[in-house]
Amino acid sequence: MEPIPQHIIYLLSKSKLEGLRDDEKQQLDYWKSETTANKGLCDLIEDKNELLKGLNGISNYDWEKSFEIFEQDYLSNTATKPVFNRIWTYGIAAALVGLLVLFFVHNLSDKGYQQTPNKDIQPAQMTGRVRLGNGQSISMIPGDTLLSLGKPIHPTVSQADSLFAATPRGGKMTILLPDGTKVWMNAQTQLDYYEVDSLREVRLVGEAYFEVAKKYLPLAGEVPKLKPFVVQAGKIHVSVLGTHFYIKSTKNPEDFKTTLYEGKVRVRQGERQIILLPGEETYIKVGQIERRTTDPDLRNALKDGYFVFNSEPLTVVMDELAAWYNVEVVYLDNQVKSEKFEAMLSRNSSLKDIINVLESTGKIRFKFKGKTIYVEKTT
Amino acid sequence: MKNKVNQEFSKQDFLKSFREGRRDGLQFLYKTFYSPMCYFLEKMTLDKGAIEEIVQDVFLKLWERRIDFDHVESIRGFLYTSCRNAALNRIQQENRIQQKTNSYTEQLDLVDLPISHQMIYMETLRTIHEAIDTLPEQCKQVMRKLVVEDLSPQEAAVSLGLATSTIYNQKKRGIELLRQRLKPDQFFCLLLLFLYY
Repeated sequence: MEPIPQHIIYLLSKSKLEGLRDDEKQQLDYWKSETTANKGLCDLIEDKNELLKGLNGISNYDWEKSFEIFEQDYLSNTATKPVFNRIWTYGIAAALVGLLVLFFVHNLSDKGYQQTPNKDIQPAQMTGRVRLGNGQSISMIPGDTLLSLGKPIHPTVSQADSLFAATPRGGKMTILLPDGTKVWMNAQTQLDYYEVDSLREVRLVGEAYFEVAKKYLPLAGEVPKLKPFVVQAGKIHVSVLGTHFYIKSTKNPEDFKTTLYEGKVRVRQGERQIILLPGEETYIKVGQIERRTTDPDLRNALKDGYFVFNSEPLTVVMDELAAWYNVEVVYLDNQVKSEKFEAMLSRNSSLKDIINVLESTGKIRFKFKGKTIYVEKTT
Repeated sequence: MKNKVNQEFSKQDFLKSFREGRRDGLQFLYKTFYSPMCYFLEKMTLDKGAIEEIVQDVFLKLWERRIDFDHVESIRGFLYTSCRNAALNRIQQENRIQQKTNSYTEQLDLVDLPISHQMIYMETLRTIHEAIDTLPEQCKQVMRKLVVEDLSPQEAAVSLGLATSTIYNQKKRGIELLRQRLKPDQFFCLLLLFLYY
């Protein structure tokens, strides 16, 4: 452990902002003369260019954007419901009590449930927000079909080479990136795009289908080289050259999946890499990427408006529905979580229709209260 | 306005709010430290994507361990050291896997200093940035020109398209406001900061 003099930070900042009093100046000069490191630091602060670079550098990073993602990923449960805050404070014991209470309430007030979902629960609508590199934001509203960022929609919107797009729960977006790539974004998905001379890069949290536009590098050569399009999904990189493919990359790394429909992609995880051909997909098995073939007839779920569940556990199914319909899911029985389901359902269906299909398997039953779905085992 | 609220909040116990797992406590820390931390890693020659990932991860670690922190000083130390360690790991990893040919010889100035001095430098930058940022818009622009870009009042007047008298007035106002803003004890009441290893 090493102490850091806060007073020095104060003196250094003050020397720049409003100037020092004589006695303060003496203190700082004395400190400066003590070691070469101290002197080096003072010189660095005196360097106008470095200071300008530093202050501009700090302004380049947007804490709000990062905080928004952080909030959505890690705070959503605690932030919106102050009642739950105490659970954190009192720790696991309180959480257990909470569960008991929930169980109790459930048993006592069985009549409080509705048998059908609320009428106002709708499938995901075109909603979301795009923030361009120059700070401008554009929102997508229900009724829009495609948000084109390729050419200035607005005379004031200049061509952006970086942007951040996000859909909320219960939202979806179809956007055209500045390079001409078309992206179908699922609910609760964030996409960070930027383009430089040598490549195009997307960081993705959530689910999206891409139709990557072919683009050539500006370098003059005999054979023009394609400009790579790289999707970063956590620690996995997917590199693409003009292609149609789907990626799912949620905060749960085990959920990662990428399916290729056209062209060729390379999926890299550390030193391991897989080259996919159309009709193949990668998924995670024991933390590692693996290859498997998919049903070639299976149209893309996201782009063509289907939920496709291929022997997926109930939790995966319900997570998808929760994001799409913006509802909460509560399991009244833990065993049902691992039940597997196979289904292909239209994303435009009402929640009631989807529920009917799932209930028709005879394995599970649903109850509703406001925007919450309760799942239980059939008895 | 926003800044005023924030300052008020810092005087109250944001730390308490943070430890209790309330959003506003974390938001305050995020607002204060996120961008400087990113720039700190930029100085270590990481790219923007990696930087933002690392800093967010470190904030998550901080959030998960929030009960352990009794002082702002220890939070600050945790943030700097965790970010730095994660960055060093990342650099090592990328070197091994990709055999990156990037030379790390540029910008060795800050990185050459001992870690304690790197932190003093970053904290000074942060303090200046934050102080200027709290000023009213026109005043902020004028102070940036004078303090950061080191222009003369005449040059600043030309560059901003303002009368020289306006520059003088705004400068006076700016220094007055900064004097209220910049107090030795305002945020870190202790004069020591401990680094966590």
